[in-house]
Amino acid sequence: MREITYAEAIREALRQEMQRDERVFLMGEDIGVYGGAFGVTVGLLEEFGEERVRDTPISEAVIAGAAGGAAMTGMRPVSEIMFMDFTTIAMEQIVNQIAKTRYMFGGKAEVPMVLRTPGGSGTGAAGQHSQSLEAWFVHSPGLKVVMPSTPYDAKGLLVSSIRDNNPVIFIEQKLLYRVKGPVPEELYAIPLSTADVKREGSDLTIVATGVMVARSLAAADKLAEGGIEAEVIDPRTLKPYDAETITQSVVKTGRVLIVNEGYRSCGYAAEISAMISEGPAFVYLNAPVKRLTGLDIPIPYNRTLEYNAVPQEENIVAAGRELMAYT
Amino acid sequence: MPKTGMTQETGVIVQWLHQEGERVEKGAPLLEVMTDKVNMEVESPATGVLKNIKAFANDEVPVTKVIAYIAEPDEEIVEEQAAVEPAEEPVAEVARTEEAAPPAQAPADEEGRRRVRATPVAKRLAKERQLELSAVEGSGPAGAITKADVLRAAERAAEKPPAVPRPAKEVPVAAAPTGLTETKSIPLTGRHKIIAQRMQQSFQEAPHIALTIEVDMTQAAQARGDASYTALLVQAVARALREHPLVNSTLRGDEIVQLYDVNIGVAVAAEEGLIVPVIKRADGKSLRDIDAELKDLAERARSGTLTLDDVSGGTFTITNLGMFGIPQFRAIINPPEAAILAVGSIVKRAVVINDGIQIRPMMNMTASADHRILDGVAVARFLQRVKQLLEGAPAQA
Amino acid sequence: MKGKPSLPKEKLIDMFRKMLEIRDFEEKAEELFALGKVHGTMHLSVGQEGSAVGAVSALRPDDWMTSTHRGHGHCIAKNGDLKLMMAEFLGKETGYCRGRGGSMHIADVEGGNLGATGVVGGGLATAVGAALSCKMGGVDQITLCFFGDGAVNMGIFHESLNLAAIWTLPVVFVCENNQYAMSMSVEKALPIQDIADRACAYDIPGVVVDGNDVLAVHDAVAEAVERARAGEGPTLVECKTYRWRGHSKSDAQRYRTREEVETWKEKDPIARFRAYLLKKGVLSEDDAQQIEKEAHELIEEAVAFAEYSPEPRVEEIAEGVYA
Repeated sequence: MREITYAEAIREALRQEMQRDERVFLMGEDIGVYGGAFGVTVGLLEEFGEERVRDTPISEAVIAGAAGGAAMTGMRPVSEIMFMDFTTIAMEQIVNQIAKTRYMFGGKAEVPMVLRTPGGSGTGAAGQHSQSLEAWFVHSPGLKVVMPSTPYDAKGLLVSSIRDNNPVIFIEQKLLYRVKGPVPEELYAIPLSTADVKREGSDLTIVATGVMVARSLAAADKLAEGGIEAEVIDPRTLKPYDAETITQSVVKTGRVLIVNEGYRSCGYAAEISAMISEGPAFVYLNAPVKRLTGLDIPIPYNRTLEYNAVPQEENIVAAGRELMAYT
Repeated sequence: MPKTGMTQETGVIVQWLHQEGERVEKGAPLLEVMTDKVNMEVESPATGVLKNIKAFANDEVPVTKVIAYIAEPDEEIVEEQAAVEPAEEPVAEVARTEEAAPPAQAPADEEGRRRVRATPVAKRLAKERQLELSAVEGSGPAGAITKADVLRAAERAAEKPPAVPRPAKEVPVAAAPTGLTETKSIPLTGRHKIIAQRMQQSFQEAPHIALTIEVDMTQAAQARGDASYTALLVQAVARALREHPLVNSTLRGDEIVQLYDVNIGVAVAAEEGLIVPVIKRADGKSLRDIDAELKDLAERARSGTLTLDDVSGGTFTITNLGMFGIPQFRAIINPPEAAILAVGSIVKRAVVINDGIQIRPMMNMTASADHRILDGVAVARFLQRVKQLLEGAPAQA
Repeated sequence: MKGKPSLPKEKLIDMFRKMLEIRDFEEKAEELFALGKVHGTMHLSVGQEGSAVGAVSALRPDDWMTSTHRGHGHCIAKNGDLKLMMAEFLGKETGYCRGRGGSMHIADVEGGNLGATGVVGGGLATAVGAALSCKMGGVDQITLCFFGDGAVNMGIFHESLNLAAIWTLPVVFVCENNQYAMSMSVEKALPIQDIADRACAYDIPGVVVDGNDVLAVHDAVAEAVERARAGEGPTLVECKTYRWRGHSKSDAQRYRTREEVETWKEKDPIARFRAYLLKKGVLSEDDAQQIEKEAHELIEEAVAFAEYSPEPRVEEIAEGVYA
C-alpha cells in the first residue's frame, strides 16, 4: 500500500469528502492561499475555489460560531483553528452554543460540524502554542472528541467526523504531520468510538493518545527485549470512548499505564483511570492504575525543559518496568 | 407577598405606601419590601381599593402568602388561602447503582492483626482459594501481596480445587431519597389478615371526619375524551393535592410530614378482594398516560400479577363504588395516609341553576380525613378545588 | 408615527395582534413567577414590542432569526406557538425544548427561529453562519439577528459584523438598544451616542430608528432585508427603545429613576400603534377591544395547556445530547 503523511491523509479526507458532498466546506485562517499553517490544506483552494475554501480574518470566535450556524441550517462545515491554544478565544461559541444547542432545544436541532485543530508540544513554540486541551472538550456535554495517531486513522476518522451529525472536535498532532504511513487511496470511514489495539500483549496494558501512541509502541519494543509484552491501545475517539476494549485488556493483563500529553490535573488520563478503577476490571487489577501525563506547568521554551515536560519513550519504559514489580 | 427572586422564600414588609380604604391604580407603588439583599417596591397588580391588609411593617411573610386585597369599593372579601407553595427543590429520582468497593486493605480486627496490603486481584484470588492473606508473603513494592504471591502460596498449601468464582455481587439499588422501596417481586399471601389489621388500626387510631360534595360532571364527560372517568379524577385529585400539600401528608409520631410525590392509589376489585395499585407522581402525568397506566394496573390486579412496588408508596387513595350504583359512601383511610376519597355513581338529576331546573349528571365525592392532620375547613377547600377542576376541565389530547 | 402607511390592512392588524400577545404573555409570565410557579428567572420585554414586531414583520416566513435572553417577543412575532412557549416556560415535556431549555433558550428551528441564547452576543456568530449557509446554497433567505446594547461591546460583535461585511452575507443586524445592559447605561458603556455609528467600521449602512414606532422599525428593517436579499450584504439597524421591567426578576432597579421609566411608558409602542390604527380607520374601538380580548384568551389557553401538560420523565434525562 502506498504511504503518505498524516497531513496528506487529512488533506485527502477533506478533498474526497468535499468531492462527495457539496455541503462540506472549509473555513479558517490561512487555509486557502497559504495552504494552512502546517500545509494540510495545500491545493484545496485551487481545486474547490474560494466559495468552499474560505480564508478568514483572525476571528476564532466567529470561525467556530459561524460554523455552528451554518451547520444548523443545512451545511457541513469544517472549521480550522490554527493552534488548539486558540480555541480558548472561541470557547463561548463552542461550549455554550455549539455543544449545547441540540440538548437545550429538546433534541430538535443538529449541528453537524467539525472543528479541526492541532495540539501538542515539541516544536519549541512554548506555553501558548503547545497545549493539549482535549480534557476541556471531553468535559463539555454535547461534543465528540477525536484524536488520530496515524495517517490511516486520521483519514478514516476525519471522514466519519464529517459524516457524523454532531459537533466533532478533531485534534491533530503537530509532531505527526510529517510522519508517513500506509493509507488506502479509496474513501473509507473508521467508526467513531472504536478503540484500536495497536499492539497485542499479555503483561501490561498501555492506553495512549495522539503522539503518545508511537512513543508507547517504541517503548513496548524496548520492554519486549526484557521479556515484557505490552498491549498498546489507542482510544482514537476520546469522547464517547470505547471503554469495553480498554476494560477487556486490563482484565487480561492486570496492569495498566495511561499515557496522555495533557496537563496532569483532571486530564484525560484521570478519566480513563477512574473508569478502570470503578469498573469490572477492578478485581483483576494487580497493580495501581498509573498515569504518565504532562506536568502541571506551562510548556517551557528551552529544548531540554520542553522535552521533560511531557511523557517520553524512556518514561514509558520505566513506568512499565515499575508496574511489572507487581508480580 | 410576590416572589421576586429565584431563591427568595420570604419578604419583610418595610412600609405600606397606601392606607387601607385608599384607591390605587394598577402599576402604582403599593408597598416596600425587603428581600435578603435589597429593598424593592411592589406595584399594585390592579386598580381598586386596598382592603384587608394582613401584614404590616417589619412582618416577615413567606412568598405567595396573601397580604392584602385590591377590590371593588363595595366588594365583600371571601378569604381564600393562596394555596400554592413555591416548588421545592426536586429530589434526585434516578436510582444510581453503586458498586460496593472492596476496601483496599483489610482493617485491623479486634485481635490487632497486622494490616494487609494486597492488590485487588490478589485479595480476590485469596478469597477464592480460601487462603489467609496475612499468612502470604508479599513480594511487591512496599511488601504488597501480588497475584503471583497468592498463586504461589496456593500451590504450596494443600491444593483444593479452585473455588468457583463467585457470581458478581448483586448491585444494590440505592433507595430513592423519599424512602420508597425498590422493585422486587414477591407473592402476596395472607392479604386478608393484613387488610383486616390495617383497617382496624386506621379506624381506631385516626379520628375520621367525613365531608361530601356534589360535582356537576357535564364538563368532565367531554374533557375525558377516550380516557376513563377514573383517570380524569386521578388527574384532578393530583393537581388539587399539589395545591393542598397538607392533604398529601402523613403523621409520623409528633410530626405531620408533607410528602413531595403525589402517588395516588386507586382501589380495584381483584378476585381475592380489594387491592390498591398506585399511580406514582400522578401530578406530572398526562391524562392519556394516567388512563393507560390505570388500565394496565387494573388488568394486572385481575390477573394477580401486581408487584410490591405497584401497591406501595401511595400518598392518597381514591375508591369508587359508582359502578355498583352506590350514590355516596364513606371509606376508611388507608394508613398511613391523611385522607381517602370515596366516589359514588354519576346520576342524572334535576338541579337548580340560575333559578331554573336543568338535568345534569351529578356525582358525590366523600372525603374521609384524619382529624389529627386535617380539619373540616382544610378538607372542604380541597374538595372545592377538586370539584372546580372537574367542572372546569379542558378537553385534552 | 413616522412609518409610511403602505402596508395592507390585514398585516397592520396582525402586527397589532402580535404586540398585544407579547404584552399579555410577558405580564402573564410575571404573574406566574410571583405565584412561585416558575423555576429560575425570566427577562421580560414589556415595552419593547415595537422593535420585536416591527423587525420580524419585515421577514418572510422562511427567513432565519436568532434571538436573545429577552426573546419571548421575538419568538411570538415569528409566529411562535404560545402554548409550546408557555409549556417550555413551565418546564414541561410539551414545551418547545421538552422542558430542557426554559425561558432563555426557546427555539423553533422548523419555524426559522434558530434559538434564544442566554449568553450576551451568543447569537451573532450563529446568524452569520446561517447567512453564509443561505448564500452558499444560492437561496434568497436572509437572517435577522437580534441583540441588545450590551452585546455591541463583546468581541464577537466585532468578529461577526466584520466577517458578514467582507463576505457580503445576507444578514440584518438589529440592535434593540433599551438603554441598559443590566445596570450599565449606554451613556457609561459607550463613547458614542448611536450604536449605528459603528457600522461605518465595517463599511455597511447603519440606521437609527425609533424602536417604539412599530411601522418605522418595519420600514427600516424591510429596507435592510431587501438589500440583503439582493446580495448587497449586511445592515446594522439600531432601535431606540426601553424595557419597563428590570433586567430579570432579581433586579431592584437602583440604576434608574421612576421618572425615567414613566417617561418611556408614555411612549408605549402599543398605545401609539393603537391610536394610529384608530385614527387611520383601520380599526374601530370595538375592533381593537375585540382583538385585545382575543389575545388575552389565547394567553389564558396557553397557560391552561401548559399547566395540564406533563413533566419530562427523569428516565429520559440524557435524551437529546447526541444526534
